[in-house]
Amino acid sequence: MPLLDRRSLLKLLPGALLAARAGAAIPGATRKGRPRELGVRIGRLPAGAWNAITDVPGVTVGHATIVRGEGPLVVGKGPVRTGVTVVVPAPDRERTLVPCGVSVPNGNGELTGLAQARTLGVLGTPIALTNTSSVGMVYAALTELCRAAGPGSLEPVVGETWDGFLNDIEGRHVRHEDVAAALEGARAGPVAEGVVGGGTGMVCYGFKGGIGTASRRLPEPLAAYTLGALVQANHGVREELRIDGVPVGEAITDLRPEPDEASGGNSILIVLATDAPLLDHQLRRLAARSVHGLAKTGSISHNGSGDFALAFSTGNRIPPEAFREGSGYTLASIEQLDLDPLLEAASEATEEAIVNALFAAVDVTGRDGRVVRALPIDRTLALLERHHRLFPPQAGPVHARS
Amino acid sequence: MPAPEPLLRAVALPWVTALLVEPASAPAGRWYAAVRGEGAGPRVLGLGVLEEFGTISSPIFLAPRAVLGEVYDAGIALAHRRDPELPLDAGWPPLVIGLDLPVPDLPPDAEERLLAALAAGEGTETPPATTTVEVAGHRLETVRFPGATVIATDAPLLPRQLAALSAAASPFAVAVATGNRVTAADGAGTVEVRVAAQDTVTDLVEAVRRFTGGEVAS
Repeated sequence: MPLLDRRSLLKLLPGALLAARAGAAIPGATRKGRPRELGVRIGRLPAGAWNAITDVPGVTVGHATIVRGEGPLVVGKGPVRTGVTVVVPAPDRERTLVPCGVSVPNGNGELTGLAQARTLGVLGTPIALTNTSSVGMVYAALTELCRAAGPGSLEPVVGETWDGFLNDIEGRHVRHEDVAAALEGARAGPVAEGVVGGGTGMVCYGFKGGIGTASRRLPEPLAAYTLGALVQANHGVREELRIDGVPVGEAITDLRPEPDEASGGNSILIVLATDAPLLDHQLRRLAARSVHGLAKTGSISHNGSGDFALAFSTGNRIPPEAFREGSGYTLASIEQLDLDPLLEAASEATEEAIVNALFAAVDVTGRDGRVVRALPIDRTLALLERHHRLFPPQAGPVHARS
Repeated sequence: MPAPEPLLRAVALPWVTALLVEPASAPAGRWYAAVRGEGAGPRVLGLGVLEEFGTISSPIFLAPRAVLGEVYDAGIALAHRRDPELPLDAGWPPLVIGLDLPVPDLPPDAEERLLAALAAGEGTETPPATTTVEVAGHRLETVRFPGATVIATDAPLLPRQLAALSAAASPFAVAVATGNRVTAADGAGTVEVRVAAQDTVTDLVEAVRRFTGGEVAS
């Protein structure tokens, strides 16, 4: 199924025009460059080569973006502004379990496999991020796809956020073939951000949200390792938004969603990956620290939010058979008292991933002509400069995937 | 063939029982542990570190609720004697579990007497109401107190696996595994941690269920 028609997307996403004229690929094309390339610096630690979760060796990301139709909502027909994003922890995903840990600052949402992550401490399938009403379909698809690829898989991990402001969410348009396409398309290297995959219909601090990613290289003595974050950002009230501490949301009060009823109680999904060898309870601590990064962008995890953070380590791989039975197995572990750089990286990468999602997103018109506008980059940079938080741009990878 | 050494030894005084994996004078080190409880459960001091790091390095003190502060105070004194900086490996924080027992007659020199007993290993014995069984090639000890159970195993379990064991012993239990001993002295590199397969955990959980219905120590 053609997931996206480029011409129709340009019509639907007026903000994408700049990127399109510049020859960048869409969806997920960054409009003017990623924040780091524009002089925004989040935190102290250096980013990895792609400043993406895929900087963690072996981790791949794939999207299926579904954009169809325009005009009034007709449930089951559209307009459709949704999709699914998958994070694949390991290339040999069917034969490997990796340790994982979860933190839930506010649980008004769904993350399947939560009980499994807590009681078994391992992840056995890719992680899929989608919309609220498509969890069941994506879960069923992942179950089948993983079973088809080999035995030993555990419960699929599927997270959701609500894209019903722009999308015909009740129509449940994410299909088995979309999940398969996202898995098939999962790649290392640069990751498309913004209006893409599971982030296609998401709203963040009253601006267009979506998928964002970032990474951190760790300092000595953990310099051999990298931590990456990927978010599906659909959270926050406009007035809360802060970028590198600057109250951007208080300053930019226009450009609100039309009609202005996008809830501030929506949600975020945070996925952390690292190749540092960690145990599941250490990964739970990392996941908890990602919430500090979320908070630095202004969110308080509202009562209505389904905010979930999941962290996994590719530095330990467990054969499913040894996990289940026999005389046990051996894992490697960074000493607990040396975790500080990882905790810092978890916070920083999450914060920057959210900012990256906002900078990458473009205006989107959805169901019933509803419009969610993108963060105005020039005005945001001017605000940062006024607060002395704009620095010489750092060269970075061109982010759009061609 | 002599009986194997118990996993837990008790230093028992009239107002407190201290369960030790190693003598209080042993080099710094931690063991993986977990705690689970139903409802309000007993009062527990030292829980934050146990939940954050999944380890303990302190003796497990069990005492009537009325004297928890005094027992914690003695535990801190012990930790300071081991290392004034109170590192995670040397007895900080004291893990103190409050029991639903009558208010004891606390002597004025209670702290000194407890510390002296711990230093000398005085009164060291197998704890009362202890059940010891062999499960899946590993030893499992359960020690029952009024409203709380302490579980020890030499199986190499991680905190989440120990949580499953403690959850099987209602209403409240702390579980500790002696199968891995970790320490900051291991340095900034990676350390090897042995982990039991889930089948072993299942067998141990079943055993905890079976053996936590017996007589209760007081």
